[in-house]
Amino acid sequence: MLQPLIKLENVFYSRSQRDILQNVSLNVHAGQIMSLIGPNGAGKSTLIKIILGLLMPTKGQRTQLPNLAIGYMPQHLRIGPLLPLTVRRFLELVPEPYQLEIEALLEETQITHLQDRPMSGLSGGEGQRVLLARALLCQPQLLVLDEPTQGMDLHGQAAFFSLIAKLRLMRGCAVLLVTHDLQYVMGATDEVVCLNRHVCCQGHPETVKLNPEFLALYRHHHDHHHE
Amino acid sequence: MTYLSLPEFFWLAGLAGTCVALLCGPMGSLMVWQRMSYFGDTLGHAGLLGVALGTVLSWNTWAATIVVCVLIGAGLRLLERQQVVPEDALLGLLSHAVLAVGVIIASSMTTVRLNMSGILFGDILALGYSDLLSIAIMTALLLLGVRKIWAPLLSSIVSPALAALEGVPVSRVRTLYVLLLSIVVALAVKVVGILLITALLIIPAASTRFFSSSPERMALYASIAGILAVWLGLGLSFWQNWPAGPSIILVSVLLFIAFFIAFSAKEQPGF
Repeated sequence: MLQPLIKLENVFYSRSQRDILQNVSLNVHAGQIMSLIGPNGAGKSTLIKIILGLLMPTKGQRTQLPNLAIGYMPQHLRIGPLLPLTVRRFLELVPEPYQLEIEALLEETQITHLQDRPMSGLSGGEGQRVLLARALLCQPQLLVLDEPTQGMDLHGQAAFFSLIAKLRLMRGCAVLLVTHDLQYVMGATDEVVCLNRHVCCQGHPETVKLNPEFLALYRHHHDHHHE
Repeated sequence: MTYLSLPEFFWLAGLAGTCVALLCGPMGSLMVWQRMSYFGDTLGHAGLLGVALGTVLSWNTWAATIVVCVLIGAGLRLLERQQVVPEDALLGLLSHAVLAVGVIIASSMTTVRLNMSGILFGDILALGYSDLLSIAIMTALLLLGVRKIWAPLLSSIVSPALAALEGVPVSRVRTLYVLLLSIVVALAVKVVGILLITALLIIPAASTRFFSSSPERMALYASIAGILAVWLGLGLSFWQNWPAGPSIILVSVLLFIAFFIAFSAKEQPGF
């Protein structure tokens, strides 16, 4: 078995004496699509920050392959209207921007027509594509997406997910994504991690689907509304 | 020619104001992008404490103001990390605490009387050659500092998480900005006074947002608008015999309104 890109072992995280994550262990493998699901307040965003290395676990170990390139797409950016920043300039904020690569990525994520628009005037779906382009600029081996389809309509979500699938095929990068879209999780991912402060269950979607802890968390939600 | 007959103090004031306005362009832009205007107010109030302490201890007032502003700035930066009191409440508390202590120290002095309105609204017309020289040297150094932190700070403002992943030392860069801002505020105390400092930082930056297409242009145009406000304000103050600091701010507000109307008439911005 190949060495995982990132490995978490018995990770705990607490803030102001409140446990946010308890004993989380997981491996992120090359080329895999892994999805992270869980109710609100389950600690998903905290776990993502630990995986990215932006937060230090209170207890436990995080190891990663040396020189691992990680592309991260945050949930949203808060760029105020007083900051004049075009899409193009936003992409050029990376440490060593290569114009040719930016051109190619604008094409690939279908946002060439947006390049001179101000960041603060983009719609939800447009903004997400721009963030995706920025995440791809470092030629990532791992792409981490935090609720990437938030604020998109159904059509937009489907288009976005097919873009992700295409990118993975072409670039061979691993994808870790936080999502509420169970249909996508069950249909298109290799591994599911269901988090509720601790890892409730984890594995192939087909096995997770039958896990009693997963059913307890999700069956109920799903009878009433779609997330 | 009438302008040749303008007195020397007018030119000294104009040049000193030009230096401060030059700095306020980029520093003020960075300030509005980070929504830090309250932070600037607090540093301004620290300026009063600095002048008062400097006078009591008979230090150089420039040095005392800079030291106190930097200490308060660094203290705020440390206190930001605690999670009990929210930042705006903390700023409100500290801002008025330093103001109160400063006024008490200033008013308890028996041997010297401080020129209170000069501290509050600026004393730009009283600057001498040596003041201008120190302001010019400080401005050059501070501009180099701003240039150094510009790219990493801009990146952190847009997204601290992305910047950190790309290797920007986000926290350190912000601390450096706060230290630079503390010094700029200390310099600006002489020009517009402690109550109007935030105005000189924020108004030119906000008014040039309307026609700036990039962060760098906004900073540059803000400097130009600030310099324009300094000279027009000084002229206004000279002919009308108004106080200089408030006249400068008044002109910058008028410029803001003019730019706003001109822009709104032309097109809807990407707001």
